[in-house]
Amino acid sequence: MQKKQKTVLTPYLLILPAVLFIGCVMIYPLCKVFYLAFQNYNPTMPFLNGFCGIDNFVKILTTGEFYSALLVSLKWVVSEVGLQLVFGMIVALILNQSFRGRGFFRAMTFVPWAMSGVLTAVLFSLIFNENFGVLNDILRKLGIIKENVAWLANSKTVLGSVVVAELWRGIPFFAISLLAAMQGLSQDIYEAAKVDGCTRFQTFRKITLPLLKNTIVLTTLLRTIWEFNSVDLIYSLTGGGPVGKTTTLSMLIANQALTTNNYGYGSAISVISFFILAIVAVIYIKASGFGKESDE
Amino acid sequence: MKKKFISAILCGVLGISMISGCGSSEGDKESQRQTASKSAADSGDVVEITFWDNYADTIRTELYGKLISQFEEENPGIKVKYVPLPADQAKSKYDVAIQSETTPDCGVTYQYWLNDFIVQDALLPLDDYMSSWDKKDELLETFQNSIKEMSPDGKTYGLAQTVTIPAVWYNTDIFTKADTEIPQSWDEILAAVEKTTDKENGVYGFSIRGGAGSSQQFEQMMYQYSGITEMFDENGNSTINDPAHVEFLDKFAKLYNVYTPESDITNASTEMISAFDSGSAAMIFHNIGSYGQHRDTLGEGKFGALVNLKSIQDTNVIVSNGATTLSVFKNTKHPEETFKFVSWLTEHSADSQFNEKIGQVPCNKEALKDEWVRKSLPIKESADALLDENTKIATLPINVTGYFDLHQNTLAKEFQNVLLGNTTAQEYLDNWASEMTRLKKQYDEKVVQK
Repeated sequence: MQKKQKTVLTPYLLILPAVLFIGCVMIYPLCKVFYLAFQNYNPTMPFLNGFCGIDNFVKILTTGEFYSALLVSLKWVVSEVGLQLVFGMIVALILNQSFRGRGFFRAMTFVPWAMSGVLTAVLFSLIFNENFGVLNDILRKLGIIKENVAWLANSKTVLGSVVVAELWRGIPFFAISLLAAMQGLSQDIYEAAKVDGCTRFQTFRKITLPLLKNTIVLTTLLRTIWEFNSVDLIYSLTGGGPVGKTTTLSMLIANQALTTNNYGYGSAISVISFFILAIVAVIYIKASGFGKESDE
Repeated sequence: MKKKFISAILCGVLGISMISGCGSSEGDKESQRQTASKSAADSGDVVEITFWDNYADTIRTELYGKLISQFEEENPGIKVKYVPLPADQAKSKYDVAIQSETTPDCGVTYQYWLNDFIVQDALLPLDDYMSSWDKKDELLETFQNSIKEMSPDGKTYGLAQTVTIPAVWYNTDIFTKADTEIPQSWDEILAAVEKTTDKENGVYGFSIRGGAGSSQQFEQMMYQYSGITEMFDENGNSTINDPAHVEFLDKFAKLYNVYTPESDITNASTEMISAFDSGSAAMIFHNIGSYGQHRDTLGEGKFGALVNLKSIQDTNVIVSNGATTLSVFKNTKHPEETFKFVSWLTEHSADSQFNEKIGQVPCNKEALKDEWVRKSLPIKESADALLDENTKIATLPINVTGYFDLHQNTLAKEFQNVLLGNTTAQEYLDNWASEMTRLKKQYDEKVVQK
């Protein structure tokens, strides 16, 4: 009887360190954010600190900055994930072909992924600079523009410019993930398709794409979460400006909590963001039927 | 069974000691501080104190290294550990340290941060230590008094080390080429902006700081223009929306994207200074601290600084956002040694060496008379203006809790809307005034009276 009890307890004891670790670094901070969301908490204004009920949520939902940031987040995530997937797929298809120097190009493709957000921001701030940026120089020489454009300061071009910078950094993730999945596909199917006279496009649409579905769903979901939470590049390139045109929800949280010490309000935005992401993830997984084929 | 019982007791004791260790009372801390300081002094042990610098760069790191060596040589019983903090993260590092009770013994702060730290009970009042310090009269009264008067309890929580006087920097070559006189007032500056703009050759009359820090800088410009020295009227209402300020902001916003680069809207200080130093902007408004950079890039004699501009009331007003200060944190176990170090840094020799190297204006009166100050024109003009009895000093409402956050969170972003014409100068300044009046009332009720 005693031996049986020991056997039952052993697995729990073995996973206890991991559970404690996750509890300390994930569960506790998460609970703290939920707790702070219902507090007025600003260390520099201790006289106002204390329980405030749902005041933070009411303030968030009744001010324009939240909806504006949500809209920017939506544009940011959809354009980033969509474009990165398309370009990543193109790069993966090219790198899946046999050609000389393929190993070198595969390695080079991964380089932007290894770049830090701040370094990427420095590179692109030089490229997009109004006065000495290389982009304006090229466009002027080609006769496309007559006057220099302030890519990162013009409210019409700023979001597109930051999207391009992040796109450059994000393509390798899709390219490498899709390439790895492509290499795991059986060549027999492709040979059969060739025998049946399928064109390259038909092969891609009817064979490659369906077989990559699970990888596409997983990578787009992961990337959606990462892009939604992404701050580094936007923070370094524009700081969320001008006039909030690049202020995503994550930027808004960073500004509230880190710059102005408004931890209660910032935590409340985090809680709303958490639920938005959770709902989107569940709907996306359900709608895409992720993992169903493998279960069957 | 016995083993289990002993284990449980030990765990209980350990747990209680951990919990009790987290919450020692203020009286305990004071007692520990005195005991630690006294025992270190009595035993002749070397005391180590930690010093945080709020503006890490290679020049300052090297400079502080040199100064600390001199101090340690003069005070063999004290060792100083220097920790440079990146400028843009320094405030949040201090805030986190205060919350987690891991503050250094002392550090470089800005006067406009002090009240945020004071309300968190993080700083040590220095009045008692100053009373027995024989060099205290060397400090510029204007700033030292302002530090004392602006604290909620009227105590001194910092020693003024450096003062950052705002200035309009102008490029002499561009002015000569445009055949334009050096302006002496803001109206003349606005006229000169148009004359010195030469877009075809990539030269703009002015580069505006439209990004981080924009509203704080513009606040200085507006008060310098109007000559108003009081931030609040007798009823406690903010004076920021005075008609003169509205008029000035209106005129200034119209310069944007006509006589300034479009990218100015996101400019922080670095980009603005770069525009001036690269010769693409004839003028910028920035404090005297960028003198070294202009000297190194444009060369001495190729630029000048307008420190003492005439206001529309025909007065000379320096609008200050306070001094750079040296503060001692309450958690220090060695307050006497720490005060010795920070006060030493503000004494003639150290303050002079420090400010000469970084091209700033010292807050030590003796240092202001040094030869290097006389030789460097912008610093000399600043020093002369500070020592001139006719110069009025208007200090921004940096003591009002929430002032800094208001600028960071709301005013800087809204300033961009003014530049783009989405918000009028009147609307912007009315909102600003209303928020400042509210914050001042809150400060008086919750902080000062308390």
